[in-house]
Amino acid sequence: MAARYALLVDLRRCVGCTSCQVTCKMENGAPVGSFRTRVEFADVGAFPDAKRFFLPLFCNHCESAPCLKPCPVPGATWRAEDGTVKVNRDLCIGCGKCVDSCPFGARFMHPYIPIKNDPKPYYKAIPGLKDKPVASLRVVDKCDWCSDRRAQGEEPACARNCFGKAIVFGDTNDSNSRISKLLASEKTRFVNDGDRTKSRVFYVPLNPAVFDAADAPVNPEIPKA
Amino acid sequence: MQTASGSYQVRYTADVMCPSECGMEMWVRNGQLAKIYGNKAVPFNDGACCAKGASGQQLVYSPYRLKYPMIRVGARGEGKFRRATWDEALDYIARGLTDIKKKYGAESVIMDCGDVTDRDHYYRLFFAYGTPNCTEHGSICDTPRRHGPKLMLGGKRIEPDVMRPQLVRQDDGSLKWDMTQRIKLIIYNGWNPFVATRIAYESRGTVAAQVENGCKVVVIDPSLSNTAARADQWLAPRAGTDGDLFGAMLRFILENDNPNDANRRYIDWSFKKCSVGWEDFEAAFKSWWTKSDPINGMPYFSLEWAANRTGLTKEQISDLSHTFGITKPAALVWGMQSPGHHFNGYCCSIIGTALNVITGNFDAPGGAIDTEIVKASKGGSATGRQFTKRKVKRVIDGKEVEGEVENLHMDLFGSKFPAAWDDVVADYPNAIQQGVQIRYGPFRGHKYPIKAYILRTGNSVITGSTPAKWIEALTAKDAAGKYKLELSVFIDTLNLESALYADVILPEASYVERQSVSDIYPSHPMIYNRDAVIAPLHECKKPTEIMNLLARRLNELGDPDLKGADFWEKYRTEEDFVNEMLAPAPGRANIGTPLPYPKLPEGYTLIGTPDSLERGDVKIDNERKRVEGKPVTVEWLRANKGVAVWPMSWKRHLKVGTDEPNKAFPNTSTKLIEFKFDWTEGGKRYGGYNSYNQKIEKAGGEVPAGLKRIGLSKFPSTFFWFETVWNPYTNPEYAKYAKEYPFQLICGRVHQSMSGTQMIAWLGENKAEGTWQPLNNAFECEVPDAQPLGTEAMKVVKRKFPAGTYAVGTVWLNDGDAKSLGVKTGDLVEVSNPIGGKTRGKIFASGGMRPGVIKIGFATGGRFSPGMGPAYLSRAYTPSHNDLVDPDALSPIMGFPAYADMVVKVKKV
Repeated sequence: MAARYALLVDLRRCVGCTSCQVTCKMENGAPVGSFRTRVEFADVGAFPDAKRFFLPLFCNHCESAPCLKPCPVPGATWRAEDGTVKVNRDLCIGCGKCVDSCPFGARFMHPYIPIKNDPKPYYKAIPGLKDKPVASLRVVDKCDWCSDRRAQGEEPACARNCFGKAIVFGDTNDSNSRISKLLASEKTRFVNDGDRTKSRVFYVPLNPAVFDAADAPVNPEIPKA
Repeated sequence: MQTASGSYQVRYTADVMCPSECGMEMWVRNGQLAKIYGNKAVPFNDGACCAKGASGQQLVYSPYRLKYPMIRVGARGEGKFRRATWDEALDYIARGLTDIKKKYGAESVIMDCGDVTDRDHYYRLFFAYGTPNCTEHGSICDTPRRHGPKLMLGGKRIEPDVMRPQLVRQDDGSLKWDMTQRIKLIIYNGWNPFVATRIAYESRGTVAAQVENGCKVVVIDPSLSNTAARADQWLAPRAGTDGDLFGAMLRFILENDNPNDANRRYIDWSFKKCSVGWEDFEAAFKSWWTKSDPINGMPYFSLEWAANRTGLTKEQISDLSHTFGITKPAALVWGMQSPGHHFNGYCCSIIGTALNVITGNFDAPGGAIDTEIVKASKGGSATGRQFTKRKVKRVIDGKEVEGEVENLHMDLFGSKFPAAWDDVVADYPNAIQQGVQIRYGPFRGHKYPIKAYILRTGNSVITGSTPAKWIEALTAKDAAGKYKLELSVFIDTLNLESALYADVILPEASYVERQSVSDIYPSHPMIYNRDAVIAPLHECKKPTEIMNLLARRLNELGDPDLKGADFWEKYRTEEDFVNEMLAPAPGRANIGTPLPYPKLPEGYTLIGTPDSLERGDVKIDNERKRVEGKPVTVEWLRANKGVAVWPMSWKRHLKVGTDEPNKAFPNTSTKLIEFKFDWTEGGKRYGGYNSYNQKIEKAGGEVPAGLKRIGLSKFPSTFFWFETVWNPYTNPEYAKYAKEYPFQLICGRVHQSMSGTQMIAWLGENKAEGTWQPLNNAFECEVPDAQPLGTEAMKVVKRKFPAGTYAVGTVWLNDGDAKSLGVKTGDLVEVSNPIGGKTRGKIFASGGMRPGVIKIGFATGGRFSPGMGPAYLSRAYTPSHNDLVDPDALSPIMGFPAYADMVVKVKKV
């Protein structure tokens, strides 16, 4: 059976070190100010019952990914057979439609990567695009579960460096994979709204309140569905 | 990977982004540091790498690091320097040192290797030069916390047995990586390994023990640390009452232990076979039970007494004591943020050690391990300690006296803290201002000034007690208008505040540009390379080269103590030096169960690579009880993914498979666990304090200033107790401050906000705890940013940071307290103490703080060196905890600053 990938965060083991956030930047070169992966913290409650939650947030590589449909360029952003939602930097025209449509704030325009494709054929489809100088347009960037590393047989960098061993990446079609076993034995859930989009990032919750309590997502201006 | 990935080369090295020094796998492309991961072959961190470790590129390629040597042109502190050549800078230092040695003696020079990491080169150089005054930051880290283990076990750091995997000998003789978590209870008191780790495995190991073994984790801390946030129980006592709590736990266990009741079987009495002095200790401890505490009128260590002082309830304390007594295996762990930073932390760490021992948890599988005495040895003769045995003469009161260089040590033979085995950095400003008085040992009566301060990878101006006191000392002038301290040198990769007060600045190669070995605290011996990953950037030089160049220049200027055969002819490469450092490894005995090497004699010290010991390719020296295999070398490590790991065993103080002491471990005077600290038996003197008391006796009973302060005339022979300072709730002397200064001030480090990490934008983009929050004003500055395209790994760019997007140091307090004060998160306040100290910062208010307590991160704010990048720009509204420290509250035994003993008030500005 072909591989179907997913990521699981065992929040019982998350120590809030933010390695996934920083390792991702080191690995993938997301610029200062933008994130493919981010750990949210929430301080809630009154003394002596106060709590602090850690919630690592990733691209959910949704099966019903709301970011795919708005893309005007065929193949510029798509979901690969193994479940990875990807961006083709050669085709992306930097219109930002997918960024606006992701409810999780998992996409951003990368300031250091200019577009390669010609945006002109899409001026009609994307109002306002023609007002932006072509030289100013940048491709969209997002998590691709470290495709380059996986091509070498390695797991994504966030899972590799995870200090609490909380992040598990693997093939859910392989019943012997660690992720499949955890999905079978533990009760998991998605980040809020992940049910609707059929998220492929699972959480073993320590305390379900984390999902409502954690700070607003990376793009707070995007209204939740 | 490297071949498949084309142009990457892989290097195995040790991290230094925080003191944990995890084993790293770094990828290099085009000579640049391209990727950073944990080294999977290193069980210490088991392939993991935290945020700090992963952010290393932003330090290595930081625009703020020191790039070339500089010589001061303005006044000290003005920050005016000119670029110099290495020749010029080294000549300046060497001439100064030569002159000072002639005029005042070599002991007038302090070599302060702030960071313990890779200090050995500098120690060697200055020991050979002739000063015994070489130190590292241990003395301003947590010495009171280490005191109990040192005194009773010869150790330092008691940590829970949670490092997995562990290499364990099996019944069939094979070695297996064991992942089993055995521990059932961990109590972390003022220890926050999830944020401020020195012990990487406590992050993954603690949560693994919870998930896999149902281990209960209790965190005791006035603040909701990240570790507390993940605990099963958070207990938030009043600050500075850690010893009170431990004392009450010990009393409860002694009063309620019943060997015949399974629910009261707290004490594992077999500890008496492998220890000495329990009766004395118990009697001394119990003698307090009938005394009435002047502050509350209650008997010491009783539940009501402890409840009154700690602010916890009697039930919380008795439950904790009972749970600890009944749950086995367990570990009671205390950190730098509890006994470590309090004036009376010594008492706390002694009681804590006793609690682990009497409950049978010491070195038990899943129990409490003193990692200091089980880690691999390193350094050996490379460190040059042998030079301190050199004979020297000094004239005292007209009489020539001979002694060894080490007898000139300013602390160990000085008038204040002669038991300060980790030195007294916080007293250096006094030594610079008033000079040193040797009152013990052969040079008794000798006085000398401090004339040179060489600081390497430390920042004593900010962290070495109170900044004002340091600045005063470093800029003090004599009647002729000359600096009292004639030579001030700063050596580092980073451009910190202390550099502003230097005459000469030398840029040292960063941690990925130099070679050495790991400095770690695992549960069994292992050691790994700090291999050079890339070539030194800018004009930076490696420690080996700096050592050799300076030694040679001193020799050229006529100093006969610096010889080519000891330096530049001996160490042609840095690898030569590191091989000598590795030579003693592992240096631990073949002891414990299961025996690490069943085919080698039990109790013998093991030297050599794991594979040579495994093969039996060894020489056995029965006289010295040593087994020598092939020496560990840089080359051997490189061929083995950078790391050597020797097998784990437990109950290393007992003969294999028995409860009889093996007299090979722990590392005390009797090789037994010692509950008494100075005694004579069979005409021989024993105990951890005996040598210091002998010093006092030989000096006609002259009492060291530190002891005098707590009313002692000698170091105690067993359990002792005294109160902390600046605590109105436990020490009557300070009760008068409670009303005007209603908050206790504590500190604690957050590694995202240390000198080497605060300038890193990737770490500024995240939060840690209440002391490190995105409360910045808008600012713009240069940062190195990763480049996804092209051949450059990082490029320096100018970035704008909007308000509220970058973490800065805060004043963290309880949200109810904030409300009472009329302040809220983000408001700027002034925090001040009764001795004129004040600082400003923004409030972070949450429920995660005990009412009446304020926490400020250690050295997170008020950073006035432009070399701190973003942190420099926020200095006007970020608090400096050190500005509120009492510089004269140096704790009595080791001279440690009472960093967390202070009261303050808060005012909105």
